[in-house]
Amino acid sequence: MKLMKLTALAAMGASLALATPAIADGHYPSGTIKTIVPFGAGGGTDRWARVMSSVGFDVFGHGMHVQNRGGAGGTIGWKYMMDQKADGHSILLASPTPVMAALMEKNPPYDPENVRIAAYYSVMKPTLVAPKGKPYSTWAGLVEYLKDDSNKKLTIGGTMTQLLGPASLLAQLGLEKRVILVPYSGTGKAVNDYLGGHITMVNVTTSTAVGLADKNAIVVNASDLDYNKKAIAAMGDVPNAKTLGLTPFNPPRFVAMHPDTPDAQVEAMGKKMGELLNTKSVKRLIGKLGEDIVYLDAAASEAAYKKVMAEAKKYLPLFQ
Amino acid sequence: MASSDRSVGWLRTNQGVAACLVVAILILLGYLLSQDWVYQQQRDGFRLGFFTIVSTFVMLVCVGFTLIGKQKDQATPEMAKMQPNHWIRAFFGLFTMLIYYILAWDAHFSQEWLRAIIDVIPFTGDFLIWTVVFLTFGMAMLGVRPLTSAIAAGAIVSCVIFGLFLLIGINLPQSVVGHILGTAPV
Amino acid sequence: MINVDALYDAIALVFTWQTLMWIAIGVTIGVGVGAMPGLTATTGIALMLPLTFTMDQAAALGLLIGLYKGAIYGGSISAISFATPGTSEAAATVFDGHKLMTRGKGKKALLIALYASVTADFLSDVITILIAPLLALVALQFGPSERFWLMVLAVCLLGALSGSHFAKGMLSAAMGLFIGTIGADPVSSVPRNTFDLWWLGEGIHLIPLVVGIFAMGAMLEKIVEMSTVKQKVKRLGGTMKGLFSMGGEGLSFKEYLSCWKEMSIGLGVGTFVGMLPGLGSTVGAFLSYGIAKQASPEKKIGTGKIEGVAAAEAGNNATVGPTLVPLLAFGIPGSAVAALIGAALMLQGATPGPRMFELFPTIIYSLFIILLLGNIFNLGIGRMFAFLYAKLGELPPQVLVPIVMGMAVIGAYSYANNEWDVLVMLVFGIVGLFMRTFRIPEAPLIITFLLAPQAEENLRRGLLINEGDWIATLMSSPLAIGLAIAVVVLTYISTRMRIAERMTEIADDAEAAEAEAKSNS
Repeated sequence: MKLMKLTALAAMGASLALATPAIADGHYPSGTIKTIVPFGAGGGTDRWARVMSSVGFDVFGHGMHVQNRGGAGGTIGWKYMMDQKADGHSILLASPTPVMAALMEKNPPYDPENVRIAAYYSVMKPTLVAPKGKPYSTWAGLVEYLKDDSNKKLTIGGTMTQLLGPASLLAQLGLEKRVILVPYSGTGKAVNDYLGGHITMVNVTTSTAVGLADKNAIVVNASDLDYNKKAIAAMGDVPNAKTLGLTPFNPPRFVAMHPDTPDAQVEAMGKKMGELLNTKSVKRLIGKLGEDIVYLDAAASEAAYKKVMAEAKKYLPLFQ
Repeated sequence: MASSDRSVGWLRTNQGVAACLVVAILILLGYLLSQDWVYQQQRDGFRLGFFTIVSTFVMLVCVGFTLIGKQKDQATPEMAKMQPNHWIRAFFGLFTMLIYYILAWDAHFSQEWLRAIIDVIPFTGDFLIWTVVFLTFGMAMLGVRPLTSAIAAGAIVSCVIFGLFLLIGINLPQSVVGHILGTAPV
Repeated sequence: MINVDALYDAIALVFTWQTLMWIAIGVTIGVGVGAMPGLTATTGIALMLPLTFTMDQAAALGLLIGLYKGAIYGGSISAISFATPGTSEAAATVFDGHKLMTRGKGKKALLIALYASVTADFLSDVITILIAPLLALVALQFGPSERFWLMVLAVCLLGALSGSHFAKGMLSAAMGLFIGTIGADPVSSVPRNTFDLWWLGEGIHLIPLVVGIFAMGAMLEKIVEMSTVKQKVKRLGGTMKGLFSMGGEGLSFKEYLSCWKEMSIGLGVGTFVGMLPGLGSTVGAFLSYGIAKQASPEKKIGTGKIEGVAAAEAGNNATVGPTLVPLLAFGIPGSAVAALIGAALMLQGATPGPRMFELFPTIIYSLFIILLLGNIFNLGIGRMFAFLYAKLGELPPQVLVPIVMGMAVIGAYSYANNEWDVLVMLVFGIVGLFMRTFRIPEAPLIITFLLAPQAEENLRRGLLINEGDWIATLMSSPLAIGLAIAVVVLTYISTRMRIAERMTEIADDAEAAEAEAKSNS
């Protein structure tokens, strides 16, 4: 309990508990880790950051100093990371949002592919939700329904990142023209319109889907990852990209570093992140927030990132 | 609304200001119409620039009405009083704020030349020091006398703000002072 | 229906000295945060959230909800005292509030702001508690086309806020629309109107815009005034001490009651706006202010009337409770603050959602009690802050102006730690000064900036859903048709009222001219 209080204090970002001078003793890290959140305080990434930084000192031997650098769809934060020294002491807690924003921009301030990835810390599972008792309430039923041209087109709402999930699965079956993708700026608005019957289906994160599972049908999980126990208990058996034999869309939450960071530091940061995510306190808090920890080390996450970038680039034109 | 004081120059009447605005909006419109993105068609049939162009046209129409409307010969009391050096003062105020921000927050807006300049100046990125300087300078410029009282007021206010933010947990840039107090993250 | 055991448990949880202390701390921090330009309720709550990791349920909710209520009220303090809205939702309070302040009635303005805030907040909390599920069902009826008409309806109220020169009011609205189109296209997310600046890709943020136009505009105007009236400057400098000891005219109970109409408007508008996701308290305040102005033209709201302050403040505080409606009814947060409170509830082991009432009745009842109790704390703590700030507001402008300018920089930056926001704020400072000197009203700009992008987003979303069928999009439901009719009726009424208003104005002018002629002769 006492330790937890201490960690919470550290998490305040109030920096009071974090003061430690950098000692160049050859060990990495040798000082505070500047942890950049490319969004304002209060969002999903910010919550991860605050939870992670609450045990940062125990894992790194130095504090994690969370800095929110919000704006321009996360690009401000990413650009800020690129402006820092490539000494391994600045990390960006990234999500697909700044990647998408840069892909949309005509003159992006950075290339989202020219970056080092130290670790994945979570992978979102884009989950398609539909009303119960409809011909398209199951994946097989949905595919049949869409194949029949005499049926009306279906509307799917969600944030752009989330929508890429079902869009990619349907595109692989050549059915993407039979649905209308309706982008929303936030999941809340999309779910609101779905519950009000203004759109046919909605694509959401796991935790939102769990909340909706009671009265709605869960159609498909566009990633190739299984849900956690709690989600399976609530939603039952849901087909995913792997069981369907399709290429998955796995939008990650990842730790990005400056492209010039030396390999050894990227790997070390990846390993430390693994330790951090494995601490009891982080597991407990993240579990309570309804999120899943999905850890990949540096090598695995860089490979996975390349794949998901290829998918995203392929299907983004569907929105334009 | 306003005095129809004939003594003010034409440029400061509603008509004069509106004429300047018409020119500005026309330049804006010209710039917009020369851009490729304006004509880019979206998935739902709208052009990317549709609403921007509409708003610019509405601005033009509204300014047009001001140009020829009933109150065209009047000037707002504020505009009637406004001298060119007042605008200069306002711009100077804003410029001072920008300099204050750059120095106190060590901000270089991703500009290498700016970073080079900042690197030469001591104590950049120290909120407390530059806030005292800014407040004292501002008060002195606006006429607080004697100067010592401006310095005192500047220092007290800066410390109060700094303390409050530290309590709430919002990070203000702190280098020298932070090291002395041991509150600065490295 | 009421789970009595759980209610007793909740009462026992809330009425402990720890919980009460945390509510008090929350309200204190909230009022302080709200009063600082640029710092919002969201920032405050996000910063305090990790602190609740180790607290018990009631204390955690007490801290966060107290902070929320305090911050929404706190914005009005600096709006009245320095013409600098501490938060964007207090911008509508500036119009009448600061005029009262300059007339030496600052204390009165601050008190009506507080009482209107607390009254509307309390009553909207009661409504939330009693009929949250019903409210949530109403909110669901609002799909893209209904929302589109709702926004159009709101924009139609602009007429009331456009001031005496209609063309200038519309110019302001068009400027808001133009600024609102900067950023990502709502359908394709492709950046538009960004002048090839990558950092404008997400558009202009409300906070630097409001701080620039209101706070900077006012401060620059003061600088200009100070340079025109040199003699006054010296005298003011000398009387600094005297000003500090000055008292002020309070607020009588009768005056408070006389604002019942404006507070009711604020309550209704705020409750409605609060429960719809994505609108927020700024819209609540401006709409309530606009409607109140329209509803009683004889009160001359906008010329420094307590009724104007009451309408704006009731309108923004009444959104506090209802913001939680979608969260409690469906587990969907309707705003950033609701998302944070949802996260706090999840960390306490209670996932928000329709089954919350069955599964965690104690937490729900604690939440309700804290919602109500927070208002009482707000009343006491708010009063203290109000008097403190009223005194600060009496500082001579030579001292005050640099302080507010410094605070504006801190606020614009701290909002998102985005250096470009500071630049945006400064640019809009000069726009604000120009608008003041040329007497272009600010309210239409803020309203269209907030609502026009949402109207566009919903219209285009509706068209996307209906595959380009305009009729199906615009007339999708009886509700949409009803709202469309309301738009037509409102436009008709306001045009007629505008004409009537012009007539009286012309008559007034003629009278004044006559009187002047007499006095001259």
